[in-house]
Amino acid sequence: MKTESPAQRVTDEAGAPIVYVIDPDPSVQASMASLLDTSGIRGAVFETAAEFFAALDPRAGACVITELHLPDMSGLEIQRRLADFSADLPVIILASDANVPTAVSAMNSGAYDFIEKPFVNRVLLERIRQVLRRRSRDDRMELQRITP
Amino acid sequence: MTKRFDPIVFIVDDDEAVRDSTAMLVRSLSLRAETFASAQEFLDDFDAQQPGCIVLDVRMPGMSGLELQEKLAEEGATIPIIFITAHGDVPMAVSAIKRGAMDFIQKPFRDQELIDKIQAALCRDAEVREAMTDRERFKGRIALLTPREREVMDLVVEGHANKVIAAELGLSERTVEIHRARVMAKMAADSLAQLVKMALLVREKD
Repeated sequence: MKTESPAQRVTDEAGAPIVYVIDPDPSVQASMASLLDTSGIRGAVFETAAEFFAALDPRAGACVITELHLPDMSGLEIQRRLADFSADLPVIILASDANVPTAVSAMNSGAYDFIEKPFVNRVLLERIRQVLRRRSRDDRMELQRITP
Repeated sequence: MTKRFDPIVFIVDDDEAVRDSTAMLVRSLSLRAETFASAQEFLDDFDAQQPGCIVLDVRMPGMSGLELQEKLAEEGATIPIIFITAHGDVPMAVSAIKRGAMDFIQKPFRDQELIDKIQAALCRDAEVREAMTDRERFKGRIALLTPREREVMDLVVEGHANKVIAAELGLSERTVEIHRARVMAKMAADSLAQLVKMALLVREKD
C-alpha cells in the first residue's frame, strides 16, 4: 500500500469499490489503512469531513466508515448528507464515546452499523465484507436488469 | 373493511413490579395495557390484527426478548417493539434495531421518556396499518382497469404528456385523453399528484 498521507488513494485492485474512512486520530487512520490493505480491499482514508467530500466519488464507493466525532462535522451529519445525494453509500459509524442512546439514534437515522471503539478488527472486517458482498450482488442484479 | 380496534400497549417482562408500574403508567395516559410474564404467553395470545406496540424486556427466563422479536419477524408481524433493559449494551441495541426494533432504552429511565416512545410507536403502528389498508384499496382499484387503461396509467404516472403516450402506444391523442379520464375516475384520484402517490404506494415492496 502506497499511503503516505491520509488523503492518498490506494491503487491496488483498480476498479474495485472504495471503502472511505474518516477519522481524526492518526493511529486509527493507520490501523484502518493497514487492515484494508492486508485484506486486499481498496480504501481511502481522510482526516476531516471536508477532505472526504472533496474526494468523494459516490459511484465508486462501497461504503463510508466514519468516526462519530470529527473536527468539522458529526458522522451522523455526513450520513444525512449522503442520503440527500441519494448516494446509496452505507455508513458505518465508529464511536469513541459510544452509549446506547447514541447508537439507537444513529441506527434510526439510517446508519448501516454502529461500532464502539476500540473495535475488534475481525468484526469490522466482517461488516465491511458484508457490505461489499451486498454491493457486488446489487451490481450484478442491476447488470442483469439492464442487459436483456 | 376491518373494524377499528383501540391500540393496546403490550408489556412483556418477567419482573412483576416492572409489569405493574409500566401498566399503571400506560393506563394513566388513558391507553389500554396488557401484561405478560413471559414471551411465550404473549405469543400464545398474539393477534396481528390488533393495533398497538410492545414494551419488551430483553432478558427473561425461557424465550428472551430478542428471540421473541425474531419469532414475530418470521411471522411477518409489524407491531413496533420498544426494548427496555437493565443489562443492555451497544452491540445488543444495534442488533435489536437492525432486526427492526423501534427503540431500545436502558434502565433507569424517566417515565416521560417511555411515554414519548410509546406514543411514537403507536403512531408508527397506525401509519403502517393505514398504508397497508390504502395499498389494498388501490390495488383493488387498479385491478378494475382495462389493460389499455393500465398502460396509460403507468405512462401518465411517469410524467409523460398525452402526445408522447399516444406515440408510444400507437393511439390518437384523443383516445389517450379518454383513457386517462377513465383511469382518474376508476382510481378516484382528484389530481395527477394523488394518482402518483397511489401508484408509488402500490409499487412499494413489489
